[in-house]
Amino acid sequence: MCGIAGVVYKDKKLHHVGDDLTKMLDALQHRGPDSAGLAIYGGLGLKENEYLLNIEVKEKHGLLEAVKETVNTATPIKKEEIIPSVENYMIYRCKIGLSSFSELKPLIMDIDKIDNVTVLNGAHSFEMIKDVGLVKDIAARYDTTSKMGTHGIGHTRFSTESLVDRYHAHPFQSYIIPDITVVHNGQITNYWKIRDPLERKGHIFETNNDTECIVHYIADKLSEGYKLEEALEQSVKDMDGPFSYIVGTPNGVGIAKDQLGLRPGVMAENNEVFAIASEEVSLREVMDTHDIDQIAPGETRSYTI
Amino acid sequence: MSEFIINAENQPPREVNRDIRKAAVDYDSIVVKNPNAMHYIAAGLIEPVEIVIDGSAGYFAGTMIDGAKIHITENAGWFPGDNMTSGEVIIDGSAGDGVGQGIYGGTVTVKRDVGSRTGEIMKGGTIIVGGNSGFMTGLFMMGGRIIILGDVSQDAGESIIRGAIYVRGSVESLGKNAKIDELNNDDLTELKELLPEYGFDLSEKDYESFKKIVPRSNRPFYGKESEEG
Amino acid sequence: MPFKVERDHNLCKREFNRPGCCWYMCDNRDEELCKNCYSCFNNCPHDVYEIIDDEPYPLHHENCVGCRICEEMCPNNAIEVNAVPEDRRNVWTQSDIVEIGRKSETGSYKVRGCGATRVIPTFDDLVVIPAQVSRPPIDKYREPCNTKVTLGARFAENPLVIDTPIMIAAMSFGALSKEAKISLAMGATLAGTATNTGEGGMLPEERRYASKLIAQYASGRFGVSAKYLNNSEAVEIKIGQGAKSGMGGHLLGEKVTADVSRIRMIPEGTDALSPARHMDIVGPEDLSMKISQLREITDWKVPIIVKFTSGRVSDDVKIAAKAGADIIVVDGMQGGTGAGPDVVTEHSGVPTIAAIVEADEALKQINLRSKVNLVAGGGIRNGADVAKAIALGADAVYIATAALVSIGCRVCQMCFAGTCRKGIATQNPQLRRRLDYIEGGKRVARYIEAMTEEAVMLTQQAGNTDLLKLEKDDLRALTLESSTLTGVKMAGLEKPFKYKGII
Repeated sequence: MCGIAGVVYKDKKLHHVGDDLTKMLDALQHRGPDSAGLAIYGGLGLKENEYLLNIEVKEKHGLLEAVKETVNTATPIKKEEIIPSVENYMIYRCKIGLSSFSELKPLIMDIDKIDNVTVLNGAHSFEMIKDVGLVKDIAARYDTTSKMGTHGIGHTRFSTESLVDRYHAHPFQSYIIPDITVVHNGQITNYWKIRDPLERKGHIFETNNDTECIVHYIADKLSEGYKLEEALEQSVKDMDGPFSYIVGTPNGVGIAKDQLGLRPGVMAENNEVFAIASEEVSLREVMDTHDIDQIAPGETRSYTI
Repeated sequence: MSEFIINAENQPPREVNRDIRKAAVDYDSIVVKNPNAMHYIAAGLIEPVEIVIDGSAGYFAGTMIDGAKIHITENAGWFPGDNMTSGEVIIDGSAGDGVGQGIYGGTVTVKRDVGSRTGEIMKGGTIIVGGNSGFMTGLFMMGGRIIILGDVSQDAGESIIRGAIYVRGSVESLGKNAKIDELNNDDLTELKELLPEYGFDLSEKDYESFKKIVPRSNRPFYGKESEEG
Repeated sequence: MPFKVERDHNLCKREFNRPGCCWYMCDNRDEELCKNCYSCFNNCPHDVYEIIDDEPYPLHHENCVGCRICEEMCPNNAIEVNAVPEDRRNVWTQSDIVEIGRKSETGSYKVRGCGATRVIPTFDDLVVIPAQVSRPPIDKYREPCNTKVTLGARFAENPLVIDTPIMIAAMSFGALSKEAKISLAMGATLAGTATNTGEGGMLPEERRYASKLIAQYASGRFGVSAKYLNNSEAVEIKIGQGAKSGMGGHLLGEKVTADVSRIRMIPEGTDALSPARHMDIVGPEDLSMKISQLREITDWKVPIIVKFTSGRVSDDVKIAAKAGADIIVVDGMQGGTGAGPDVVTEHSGVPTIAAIVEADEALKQINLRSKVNLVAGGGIRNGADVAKAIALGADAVYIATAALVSIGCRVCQMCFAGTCRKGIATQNPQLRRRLDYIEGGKRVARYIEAMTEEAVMLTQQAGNTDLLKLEKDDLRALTLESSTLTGVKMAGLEKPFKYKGII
């Protein structure tokens, strides 16, 4: 599945990451027409234990009120915004405060119980934008080019074996630990063997999508104390099938590629920027690509700020 | 010498290729400006024209050309020179996976490193890599020659049936049906004639360090036991 | 099903005044002296016969697959082959025991030609329902019925227009003889339809005689070049074929003769290996890029076809359609091959009838049904199969084994050995001489024309004036399985059979 991209600014300052990723993904549009998404880290400016929810709501009388009521019952809505989308759906965005991160997933599951409502994500340190359609259209809808951040990852999707909808657009997020996201190109062919032990540990799977499986796997490894690079390396040993995927964490990004190297990945780096993508054409949007590295089969790369 | 300049900026490959095909009839040389790592540049061109791609090309640069000479001044993506019948693709920078995949003839030269599976299913022709080549170089190779001036990584010559891979640097490991052989004088003469032609000036000592990877058997999969080497 | 082979001594000796020794592959070339014939012994592809005291005896019945080549070629009609009921002791049949013996001896899996031989749901489980007065039938003798089909008009400047929706599927030169390839090309031209190069490159004679030729682009890329692709009326990317889902092709070195090596552009005598998958098509975006690449090479002129075996049909078809294919082929598990592991042929894939419905539904779900054409292959033998395939959702069909049967193939399943007694799947000049390709071409054409007529009759029965206008509602299922597999209404029940409580 798809085209992937990630970018990190090494100075930890805010840059036009939304604009960068939009251009990088637009250059990869030919790799996937179904949906696109990005996670922009570092620009939200939320206080401790504040979260931003993105909720997909069908345009139906009373539905939005029901969503608000469910949220308000748990915690007062601090700020809200409505973004119109296509096919009679809108995205309801709200800022809330929780006493701890562990309350986030239960709240999301409560909201998900409402028919025709799906929580796309809930995040503290990154902004998730994902929708069906082409990169440029989504960028206009969500004004992605104005979004600032320190780093981010993005995706354009060509669906293989699961649904085409907003929820199944990448990035996928895990709630095992805060703010881990994954974008992915390929398939995991030993999916159930990866998923089963994670489920037995109590992690909740919402879909049968293999990308969701990767994000939980990585989050689980990070929660066990693995460093990002170690988690990536272990995943290459544990997972089977053709894949290259990019992980976003609150302080960095990383890429891993399967042992047969069946999916592409290139990277380039200079004193200011570290960038990875499916193809050179995408890297060219953020830097000079005189020197680019092919990610080798089974190789992982990461950059943490 | 007549030269034609095509500006590829904001053009889809279909337009660029139609322009190239048209110009190839009347001009000896074509320059493609602002290629911006576009895929399929010069796909299926059967005119013997010289093309300079001034920048990076994307995937399948010069796929199935027959006679054209393509010079890419920066990098190429996956599969440059794919399935070429004859001609030349020269890349000044690096390239991705599957360089010279399935070529029948002609030469693909990459000055710096390339990705994995260089020369997979190739049946003839020549691939020269100035730097290193990755995993499974020469996979399912059925003929021709690959020359790597740097190192090759794991499983070099995986399932090779015919042809030869010359490696100047180290070979991390060999694939199934591949073995290392000594170079003979003919091989050396061939290399010494060929490499300077593409701008690789090697010392005598460099030439001495070449190894040659060849198939163990022509019938690795269905052969009778006695035919296995 | 085991077979009993009997040879009548008296009849066998009756007449030795035979036409030309080579036809019977007799060892005794002096016709004057000839007192024994050995045609059965020499022509049996499965070593059923043994020579004892200078006479052939059918001793090894367990080897017989019922091809009846010995019967057909006996000059004295002395041979009779009959199927006998399988002696089943619970799961153990005679063939299971013979096969275990063979494996124990050779230590390897069984390779054979042709498609699945065991019983699976087929077109025979469906019927076309005739129109009466609720809708009127169309008069076969006096009223017209269209059979012309246009395929691939989605993006191609020159779509494929054929007079009948029956095309000849890919079979390579190399697997088949030159004479067989020419017969198919001539037959297709006479019948106004298209044939296919297969994965072994394009034979110049094939190009000369075929007015519409599809160039196949398979994983080994044999004989592929810009000229090859541009010298065709359509390009077919073969991802998989019904008989060998997810496996590459193998042409043994013995069949790579000088001719074959020239067309494939590989050295003589080298095994021609096609990898299991295209080295550069590993995911959906790769297929999309592959289609774009081939369009660039062919300058958007000809349709691009993507051919799948039937596995995850819905997912694969959606991917190909979104990737920009003009035509998609689904090849059911009954599809044939020249050489494939028996275990794969018999035990992987889904039946053709289910695959067509799943593919049609998938295209509807992504709103591309009217743009993308669907071709069905796998076990199509007659006009009824064609009509039913179209009613289930196909726009055209592929025949392959059936076309070979029309020029003499007896489905003996030994195509891979290169010793085809009918001169079809061989490169041996002596055997090839047995196939008269001019007559062969006529036979293929007559067969396709008669089959088209049959399909037309059923179409008119159902009250339609265009073969392509047959629809699923014109069918009824005779078995629960076929109704469940296809969603066709169960005869008598007037609705599809579905289990309650299962989504």
